[in-house]
Amino acid sequence: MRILVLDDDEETLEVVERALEREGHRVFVARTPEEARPLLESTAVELLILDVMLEHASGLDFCRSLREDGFEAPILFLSARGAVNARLDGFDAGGDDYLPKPFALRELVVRVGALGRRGSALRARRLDIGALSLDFDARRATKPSGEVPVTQREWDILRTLADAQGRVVAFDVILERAWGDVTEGARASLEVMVSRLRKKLDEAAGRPIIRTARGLGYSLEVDS
Amino acid sequence: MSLPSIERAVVRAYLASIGGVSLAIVVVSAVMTTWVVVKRDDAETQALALTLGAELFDHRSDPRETLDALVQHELGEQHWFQREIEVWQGENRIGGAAVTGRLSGWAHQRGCTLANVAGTPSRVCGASVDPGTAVVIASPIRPLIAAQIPILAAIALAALLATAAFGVAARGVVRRSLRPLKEFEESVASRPALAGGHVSSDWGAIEIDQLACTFNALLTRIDAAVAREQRFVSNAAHELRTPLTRLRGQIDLVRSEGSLNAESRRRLSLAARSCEELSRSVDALLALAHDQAASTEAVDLGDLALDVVGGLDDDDAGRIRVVAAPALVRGDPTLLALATRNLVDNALKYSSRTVEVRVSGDSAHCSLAVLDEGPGIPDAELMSVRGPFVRGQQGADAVRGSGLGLALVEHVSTLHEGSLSLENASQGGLRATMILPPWRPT
Repeated sequence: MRILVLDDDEETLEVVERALEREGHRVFVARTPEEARPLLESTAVELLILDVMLEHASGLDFCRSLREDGFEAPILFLSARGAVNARLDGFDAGGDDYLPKPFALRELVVRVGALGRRGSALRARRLDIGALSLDFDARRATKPSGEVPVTQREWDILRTLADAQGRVVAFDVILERAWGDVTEGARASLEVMVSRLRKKLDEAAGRPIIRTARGLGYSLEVDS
Repeated sequence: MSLPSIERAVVRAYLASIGGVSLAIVVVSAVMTTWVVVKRDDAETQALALTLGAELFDHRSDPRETLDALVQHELGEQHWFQREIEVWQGENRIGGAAVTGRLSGWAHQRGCTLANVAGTPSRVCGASVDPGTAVVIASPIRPLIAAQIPILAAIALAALLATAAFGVAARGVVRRSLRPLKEFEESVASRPALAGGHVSSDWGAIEIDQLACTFNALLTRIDAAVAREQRFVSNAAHELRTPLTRLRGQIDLVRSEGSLNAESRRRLSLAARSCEELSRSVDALLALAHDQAASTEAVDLGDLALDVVGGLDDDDAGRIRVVAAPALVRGDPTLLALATRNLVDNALKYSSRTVEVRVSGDSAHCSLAVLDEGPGIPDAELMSVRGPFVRGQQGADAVRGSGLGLALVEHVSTLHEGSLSLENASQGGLRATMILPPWRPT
């Protein structure tokens, strides 16, 4: 996969470059958005890894301008700020995933792999199913009688399913996106959380919203 | 004792002024009325004395008995009204037994004067038509004044009612004048903490408008200070985490080299662990600098506990038993995970045996308790160990740590409107519990 890494810290660039090259990726590096632009145009980059706080620029602003210009490849944010702020701001700016600094290189490699397989998310901002309304940016689920509590990981599951627009999403893909790893413990938790989501959301939607494709994965019953 | 109130003070001052004026009116009315009544009575008494004097003058050549009879007859007339009368011809009193002789001292009185006649305050008036005959009349003052009491009482009652009516009106006016102040207070109270934005500076009262301007100036200074602090925390986060990222990356790169011997691999693992500890300390310090949760999502404390345990080394995770019931709270998942991780780390450090994480929740509160089988904390230190950079004395030499753990957990609990409870279990060991309010719709 062709990956561009944009970070103003030389040593971080070098470490990330080496780790990704070892995994067989072709890595380009840039220290400023100005340096990154021509590379993005000339190299058909398939994934952009972007630091949120650059020395003289904002990674978030750069991401926004790229999305406005029609850049569609997935963007992974690296952030030295608080994880929650990074997630909210990153998704808002058009990012697909974020990794708080400092990170383990293995974690970076897993996230990159997952993003590569998934491609750019469609970034569903809002979804209405029956009387149920899911606002993915504000992470707020509502039904006519009020708010429905949905936890962080449950949102990750819902977002993964929503991005697939009704297609079946394999268990492992959901686990990678919501847990960052595929383990037996996570697999069991996924089942528990899906059953919890059904209990919370089916009534508001007026019908079952998560369908199980036996042995394959789950899909979200979106309105056609 | 209640605090001074502007409304009460103004109404009191108003009542005092109106009451004072009313009292003055009542007193002046009483004095003036008395003075007028006495003067009118003096004139009447003088007229009576002169009339009687003229009559005696007409009968000056009558025998003494006739004059006595005349005076006695006059005394029997109604218009004398409680007055006492004595008629003197030279040193002789006319009127016989009908006169008391108590007024002899005023036989030469001309006009009226205030005098004490045998203990009774009276007006004594004298008149003489014939130089040899004097008529002296004493008129007691008390009955005169007593006759005015109903009028004075009516004036006093009217003054009292007017004072009360003005008091009620004043209270209404003061309340209406102070309403903008009350609205200003409500506007300030409903302003969310650190949400930015100022209160209106148009309240229809110059004093409140000035107060609002001063308040807004204060808010601007506070907002600037908060923004500075947030920038500092953000920059500090960047400055601290960037070298940690390099360090962690370099360690990971070297560890992934195939050529390392077992000893080098062990040392690198230790370095990676130190790097993780340092990273957690940075997270804790930055979290302590937060004065509000960055997000308020639904968080299941059971999931959180399982995630935290899932992030531990296998050896540590193997020592932990999680017993979780549904416990949904509203909060910042990153901060809550950090707090939970600190509680678990503490328990693992101070106890070499099993650690239990117990999550429970009901409609009143949710709790995440971490129970260890370590030495516990002496009761005297249960409060002091919550401070930053403070570590318990028990077993402190044997374990590593920054001493930020419990301070952070308490801070995070408080940010979520909850609390941290520390107690020594009866069978030994420490039970540290985060108690948080359950999730409620906003």
